[in-house]
Amino acid sequence: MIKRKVTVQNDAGIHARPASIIVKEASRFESDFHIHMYGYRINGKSILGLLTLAAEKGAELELETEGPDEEEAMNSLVSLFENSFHTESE
Amino acid sequence: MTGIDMQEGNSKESNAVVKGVTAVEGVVMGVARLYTRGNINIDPEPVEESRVPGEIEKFARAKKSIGMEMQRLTDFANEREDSQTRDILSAQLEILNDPELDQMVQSHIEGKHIRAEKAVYDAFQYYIDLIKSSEKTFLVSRLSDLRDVRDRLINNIQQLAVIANFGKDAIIVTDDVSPLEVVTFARNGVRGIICNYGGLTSHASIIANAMGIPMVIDTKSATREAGDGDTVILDGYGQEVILRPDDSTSGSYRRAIKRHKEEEKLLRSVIDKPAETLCGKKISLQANIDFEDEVLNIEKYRADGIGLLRTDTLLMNAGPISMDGKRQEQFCQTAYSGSGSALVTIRLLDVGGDKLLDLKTREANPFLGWRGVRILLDRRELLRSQLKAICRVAGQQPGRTRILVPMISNMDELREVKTELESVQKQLAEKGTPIDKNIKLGVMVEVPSVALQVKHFAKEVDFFSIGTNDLTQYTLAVDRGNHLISDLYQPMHPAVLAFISMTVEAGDERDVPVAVCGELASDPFAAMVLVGLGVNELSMTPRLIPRVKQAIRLHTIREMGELARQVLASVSIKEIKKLKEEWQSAYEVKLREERASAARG
Repeated sequence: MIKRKVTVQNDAGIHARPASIIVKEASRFESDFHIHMYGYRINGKSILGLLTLAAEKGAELELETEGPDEEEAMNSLVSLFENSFHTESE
Repeated sequence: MTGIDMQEGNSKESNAVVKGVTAVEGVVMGVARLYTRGNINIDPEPVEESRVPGEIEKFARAKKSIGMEMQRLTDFANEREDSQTRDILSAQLEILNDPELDQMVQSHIEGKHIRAEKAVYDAFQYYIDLIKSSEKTFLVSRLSDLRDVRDRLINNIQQLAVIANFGKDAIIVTDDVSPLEVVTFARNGVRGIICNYGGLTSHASIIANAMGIPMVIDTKSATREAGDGDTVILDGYGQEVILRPDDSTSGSYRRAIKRHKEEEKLLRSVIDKPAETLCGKKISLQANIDFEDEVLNIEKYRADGIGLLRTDTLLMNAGPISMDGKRQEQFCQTAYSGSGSALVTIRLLDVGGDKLLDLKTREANPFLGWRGVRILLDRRELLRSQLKAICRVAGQQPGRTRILVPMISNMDELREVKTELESVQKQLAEKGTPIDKNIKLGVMVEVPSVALQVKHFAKEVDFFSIGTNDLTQYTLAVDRGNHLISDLYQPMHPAVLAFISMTVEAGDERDVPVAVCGELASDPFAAMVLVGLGVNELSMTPRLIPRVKQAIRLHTIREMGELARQVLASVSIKEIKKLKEEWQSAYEVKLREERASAARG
């Protein structure tokens, strides 16, 4: 299991569209994916779970992946967060 | 909708008009279909244990069938290269296939022996409550996406057709619609959508626009006034809905719809063509912009920059006489980025005193009262804050900005504003903020005194913009809001045209550009006359640009000049109306030829 801290960087926060992008990306991997925020732990492959985080710009999250491809999954998910889910330019 | 309401609807008067706001333009006639999201009626009672597997199966089946339907809708959106619809659907599909949701529904059914629809409802409610309790607007405002998926699941489980078989001539009348409903309506060939509520920028409106379904929103009472099965006309150009039209109204709309269809086809082919006369002279067709969400239309209709950026609604939203500089800068920046590298003409605040909340005394004649530059000069802090916001944005994109001063009636007012502008620019420069040294300052020609003195103004301004609405009302002494005298409001009155002609002449002498930004510019006949008089810039609501462009492309400068001479030589409104009729029939011949050649080519 690996854990990594990330910050929400896009202005609009994790609304439906970024959430759907995260779920799509996470679902490509076999590993389980969870997100910790303010003591909550949600399934990162669940869009509804992601929405209930109500994470705004600047929110600090901890990503957790566990499984055979946990490292690959972590790298690709961290990069999504760092690139504002590729949504900022629109 | 209950049976009683429908009876009432049918007994109501014919030709009833319901006003609204056009979200998607167009005119259509059809049969009103009152649409309500089936009142979800859920039986909370537990079922016998033996029925539990059946309930789980119902849920699984509903999920699959909606998943397929949404996938089809996504493909449909993809085909249309409609990325907005696709993104919304994609998020909804993700919700439908959410693993946690699936588990929660199943364990509710198994653990509590409840019906599938009840389990779905409860599971969604859990998430909706959590999101609501976050009090984050950016999520709470999107809860409709969740409810939409939930209601479809429940409707499917209860085997209710979500969109009843409305028929191809249906015009939906409803409280409000969701994006998914709009897409489904589109697939079922619905002709138009009328809503009691709704916003211009809501996803539903955006999608209806992309799908080309005429839509009028914010009618407040359409569902009460319309009866299911009533004949209804949705007039997106007139921002209204006509219920139960009589034969003559239907007839005239039928003709109008036919004409619009042919016209639109031709107009679409004009959008990408240059705005030049038959003899090759370029005419600048610009956009009038009031709201941020209109900025997209600049590119859509290939406007040549912004001829009139109104800043009034911005202030009105901000509240009393304070002006949020940041908000103004933002608005200007949106306008700049939406118009390529073209000119942006920003009009300073042009409201009447009656609109300002801190004004307790009512004016007897607000249109002749404290408005436009008169307010700005009395409230310098307001003027300075606005100039500062504009200059900051102008400095980032030098060479693009024109500042337009409204309601000027004498030279001193112009000079005062000019001094303020210079001092604001100087202050910014001293602080190291980049400025545009060539920022242009111009006046609205809307008060007759300016038109009469226009030669003097031409020496002190960089451009003129003629506001035909106010120029007409002040020249003819006709309040344009007064219905008793609405037939006297004639922008094509020879006296108004004489003022326009004087302005063009004075501008020509000193190479000062003259633009027309009133409603007149969007009328093809008037546009011909204006170009014939020598006006090179016309500014209007962007969606009306193709119509004017087409007329310009089918006439030479010589023809328009001749028309202008005839109009100027007229002494009565009747003569001008006759000229317009003659021109109109000649133009229709040209359009028919154009259509025929388009059909051949």
